[in-house]
Amino acid sequence: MSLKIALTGNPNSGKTSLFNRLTGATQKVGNWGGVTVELKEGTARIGKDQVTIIDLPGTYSLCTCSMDEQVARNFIVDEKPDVVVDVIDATNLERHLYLAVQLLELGVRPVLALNMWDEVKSKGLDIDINLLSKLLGLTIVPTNARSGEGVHELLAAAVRQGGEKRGVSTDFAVRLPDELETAVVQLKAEIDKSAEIKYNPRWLALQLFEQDRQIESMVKELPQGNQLLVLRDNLIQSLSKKLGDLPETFIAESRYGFITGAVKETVKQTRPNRVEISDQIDTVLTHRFWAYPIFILFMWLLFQATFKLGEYPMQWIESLFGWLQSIASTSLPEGVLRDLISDGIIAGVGGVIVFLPNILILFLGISIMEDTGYMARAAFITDKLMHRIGLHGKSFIPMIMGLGCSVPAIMAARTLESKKDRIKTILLTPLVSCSARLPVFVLFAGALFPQHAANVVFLFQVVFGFGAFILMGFVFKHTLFQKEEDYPFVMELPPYRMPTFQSILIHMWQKAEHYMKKMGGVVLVFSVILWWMSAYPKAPEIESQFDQRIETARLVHNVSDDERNEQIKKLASQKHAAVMEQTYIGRIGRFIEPVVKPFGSDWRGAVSLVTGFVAKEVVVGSMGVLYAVGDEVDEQSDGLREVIQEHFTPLSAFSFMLFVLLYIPCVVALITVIRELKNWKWSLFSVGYQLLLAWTAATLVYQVGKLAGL
Amino acid sequence: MILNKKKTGRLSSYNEGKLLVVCRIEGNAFFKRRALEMGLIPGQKISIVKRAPLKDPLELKLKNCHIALRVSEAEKILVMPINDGSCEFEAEGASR
Repeated sequence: MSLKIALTGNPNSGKTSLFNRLTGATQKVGNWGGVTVELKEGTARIGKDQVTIIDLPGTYSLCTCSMDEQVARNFIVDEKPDVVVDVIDATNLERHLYLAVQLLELGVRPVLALNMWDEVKSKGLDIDINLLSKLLGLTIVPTNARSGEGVHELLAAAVRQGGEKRGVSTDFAVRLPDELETAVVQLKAEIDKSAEIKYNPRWLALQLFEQDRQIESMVKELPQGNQLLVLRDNLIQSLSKKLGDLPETFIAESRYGFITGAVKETVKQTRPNRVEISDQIDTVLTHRFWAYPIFILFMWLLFQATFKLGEYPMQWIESLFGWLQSIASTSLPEGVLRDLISDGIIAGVGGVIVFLPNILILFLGISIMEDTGYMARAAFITDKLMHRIGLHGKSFIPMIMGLGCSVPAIMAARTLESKKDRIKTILLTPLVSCSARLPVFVLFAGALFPQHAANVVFLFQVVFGFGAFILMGFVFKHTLFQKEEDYPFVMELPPYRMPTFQSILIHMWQKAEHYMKKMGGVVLVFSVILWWMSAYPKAPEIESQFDQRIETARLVHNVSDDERNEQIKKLASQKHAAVMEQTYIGRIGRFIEPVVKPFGSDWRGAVSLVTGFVAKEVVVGSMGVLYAVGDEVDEQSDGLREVIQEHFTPLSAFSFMLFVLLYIPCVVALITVIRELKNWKWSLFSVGYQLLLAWTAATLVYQVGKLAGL
Repeated sequence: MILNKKKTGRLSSYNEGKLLVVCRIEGNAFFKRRALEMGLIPGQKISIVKRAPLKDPLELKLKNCHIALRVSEAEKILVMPINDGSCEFEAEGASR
């Protein structure tokens, strides 16, 4: 069996870069039962042996404040990796050793990787590794993930330690205040009586004094669990009275006391630390006046790159699939199979792949922002605004990217640490108007508000979209998430660093892979279903009826050629409309007509909205077909504008646009929402609330407008 | 062991650059634990580096690293200017 090595460490310790160095292209998403967060694993070779390396989420401690911490701790406790490697930012030894001390308390002897070793020298620090190793009783290897120095030595040291019998060492303990130590010993003695506990008893006692909720609920399940908790509560109460604060404070203090002592003995500052370049960069990037213009510039660049630059590869993809479609339809015999392959499958695959350029470029940008350290600053300067609607500063990026396309924007919510913030951001992001909704607004604004078309489009695309985002943010903050405790904002602002090319490429590749694997298949299935619903059932009688009328029209002689062609075109359009009306999608549209009536739309509007589920811009094409203008229309077509003017009033158009803005996102975005929420209740809620919001808003506007005599 | 209430103040009320020492962390368990593990322990020397352009959050420097926290969180951290040093002394006395 190959050796299992788990990589752990604080965020910003360079852990992921080190993982990339160790495993390179062998990375995949590991499959660990019971682990809710996806963990990456990879293999590395050393001599003849192959070892498996698992990259745990970056955490500051083994307490379980966040999902990530829970995953990291449970993995170490339950999966029992042969070796744990703790990656440490050597320039920030004190803070990073906190996790190592907790690992020691747990009975794990980690191998320490003192990463960013090159910066130690440049900062004028001198670390006595031998002494530190002796003081902690651990193997320590200096590394530099950026250049690869020390990586091989680290792997060798880890394998060596894995070869030894690890055993659980229970002898490590930091010195606590006497009263607390007595209490810990007392609680530990009680824990020792219970045979069913798999954790190190002293560590468990400490966790109980730190009031770790996951540990509490686990203890509660035990036969004498309640007794233990009662004892614990009593001890905490008497200790708090004696010591003047909760035990957890003193536990943290004692750990840091131990660390400070060790660091004092082993680290020397050989020359005074000058003002760091990082601080100088920060004076500009978080400057009182310049912070926002610079931030807006970066956002603008990210947006332009993602959606404008991304347009070129998207066009290539579209023409490639168009070409494949035409090949399929010319080389295959006419029939169901040909339609399925060309209009269903090829178009469906194209519809999945077309989003890849956006996703790749956006995540290239996000990786750069995260790896340089700018992401934390962006959160720092926007948090005040976002927190008003109950969100985190980092929610800003999904919100802005939502203007381009909801799919990558929703995926960008992954940068948020807290589950609550992530759910909220995913629920709200689809409200921001994506670029696919633009053609609908252009069509309706052009048809019914010709004098103010640009303003109306702006109103819907920007003002109403963000307005809905902010409004619903408020609503959620004060209803659904009212009782939730605020996840602490406390966030490290890491020094600015140059990102490594390898890390960025790997990150980008993983996002694309995630999208293709997790969403591609489902989207394809849905596209085929939607295609089938919009193409079937066929209606040969209706078609032949119209074909006959077209033939008859062709034979009419007493009119000019132009008039005859006009008549034939009109009949062909009517045929299209009639055929579409009795497809499944058409029937659904007919069926739900009562739902759209209250906001002034008819069955054609309803059918267009249903087809808009495929992609929002399809609404325009569907209207062209349904109003018998022909299927080669776009939002600028005069013909389509005229029929829209006939069938809609300014008021009903306004309501319809509002509905299009707010109702469920397209199928790809919806599947992204479901995949990222990973929770059926929230997914259903997401669909439900958006439909309800859209309907209520559209109906309210329409009915109030009618009462006002518009 | 009782802190000198007169001399301690809330972190949020101090100016940038002033050298402070942490006396006590209040607030809910979530916040308290995160603050402690980030090194905001009694006796720790800290200073406010800057406030965000909208005055919230603020940036702290401690143990050679920079940490951002919201004003509402900074209100839960009781500190004392370092030249009034008694809190540091008492905190040290409490831990050892």
